[in-house]
Amino acid sequence: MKWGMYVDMNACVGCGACQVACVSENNVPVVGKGEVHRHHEMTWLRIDRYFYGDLENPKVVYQPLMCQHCDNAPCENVCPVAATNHSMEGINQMAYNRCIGTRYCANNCPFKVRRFNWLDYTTADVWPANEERVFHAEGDELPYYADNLVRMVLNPDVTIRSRGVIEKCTFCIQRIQEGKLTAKSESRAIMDSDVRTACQTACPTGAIVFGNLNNPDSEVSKMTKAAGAMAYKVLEEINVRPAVNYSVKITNSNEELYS
Amino acid sequence: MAAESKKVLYGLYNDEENLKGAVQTANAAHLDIMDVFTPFPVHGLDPILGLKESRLHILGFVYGAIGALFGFLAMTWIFTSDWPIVFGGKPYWSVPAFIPITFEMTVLFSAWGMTITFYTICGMWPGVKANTLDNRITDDKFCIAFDVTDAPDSDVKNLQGFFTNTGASEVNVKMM
Repeated sequence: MKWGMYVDMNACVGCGACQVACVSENNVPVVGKGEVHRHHEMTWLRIDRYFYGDLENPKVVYQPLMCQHCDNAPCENVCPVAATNHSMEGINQMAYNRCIGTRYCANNCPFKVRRFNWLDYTTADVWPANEERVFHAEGDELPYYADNLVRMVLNPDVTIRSRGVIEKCTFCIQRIQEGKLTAKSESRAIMDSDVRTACQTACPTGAIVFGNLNNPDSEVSKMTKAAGAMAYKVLEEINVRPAVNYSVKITNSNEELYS
Repeated sequence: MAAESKKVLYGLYNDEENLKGAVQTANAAHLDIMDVFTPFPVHGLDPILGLKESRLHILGFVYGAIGALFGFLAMTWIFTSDWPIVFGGKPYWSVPAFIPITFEMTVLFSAWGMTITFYTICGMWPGVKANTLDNRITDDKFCIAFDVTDAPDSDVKNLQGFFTNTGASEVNVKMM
């Protein structure tokens, strides 16, 4: 078992549905403009945009970028407390409770996909002693997430992260576990349909495919194989061996056909 | 450290150069110096007294080697059999990754081992009482001490003469 992903950048239209789905599935804190301005954005999946062509009317390539779950993960080597390491299924996993917030992993990540909880965004740590210092939007009496009604938005399958902890894409580990249990209870091998990540389900064009890379018959293996030389891994030259394959975006540069 | 069993004759000097001269005189006269006390390390005194170089650093190396071996073997055991974890695609037994902790264990064992050995040799354990000849030798006096427990009176007189000749500011006898 080795979980992996295939992202077809020809299909991607850059709508951002995967990002929204990820935020709502994984209890990723919505930090607001002020925090984003301080580079405290928390999204596990972001959409990189690359512009080219005419300056006034540029063409654009969208690239959804999540944790690449590298086999030779640079982030794992530098953790002094072994809070991030590899699962037997090729997933780069985080133990939030073990994390002491040195941020070495984020500094060592070539893709900048690790996120640090600078403040207690989800009010995971609200108790009287530190209540005043939790993340507050200006003017609000209560921290946003401390409101009981707002808390109902949280996904009970995913833990919320407290201040001083690094978090990142888990390949929707809760869905993987659920899929494995389903397969186990039905006494069969796990299938593609058992596990679908949040971003995959949200993508309107089916650009994101997730599955077992070790199974040559899985959809992700087939799609990667079909892409052939068009499939590539981001920053392949640094040899971190990501588990996510992207396909090169092909456009017809004929002016009459493509404008 | 039996109490009051030794009779010590000692002289105090005001200057370390006087002390060094006195020690050389004593050597020439074949006087058997029990010990010399100074408030700070006096350069050039060790060879005159005939003290050998300390062997503590040999023990330091031995302790360091034990520490290195302990650190390396402990990590080998932890990462190969006790709790194997995959980090960054490395093998379980990845020697380069063990080097920093092996080094730290070497330094730790060497430092603590030498410190504990030194204190043990000097008889300095917690709660020990200081048994100094004269409090001023920890301040500004330099002292030469002779063991005169079984010495005949003539020898004691001889030693007192030696102190007078070499410029000792004070000569005392103390049981310790």
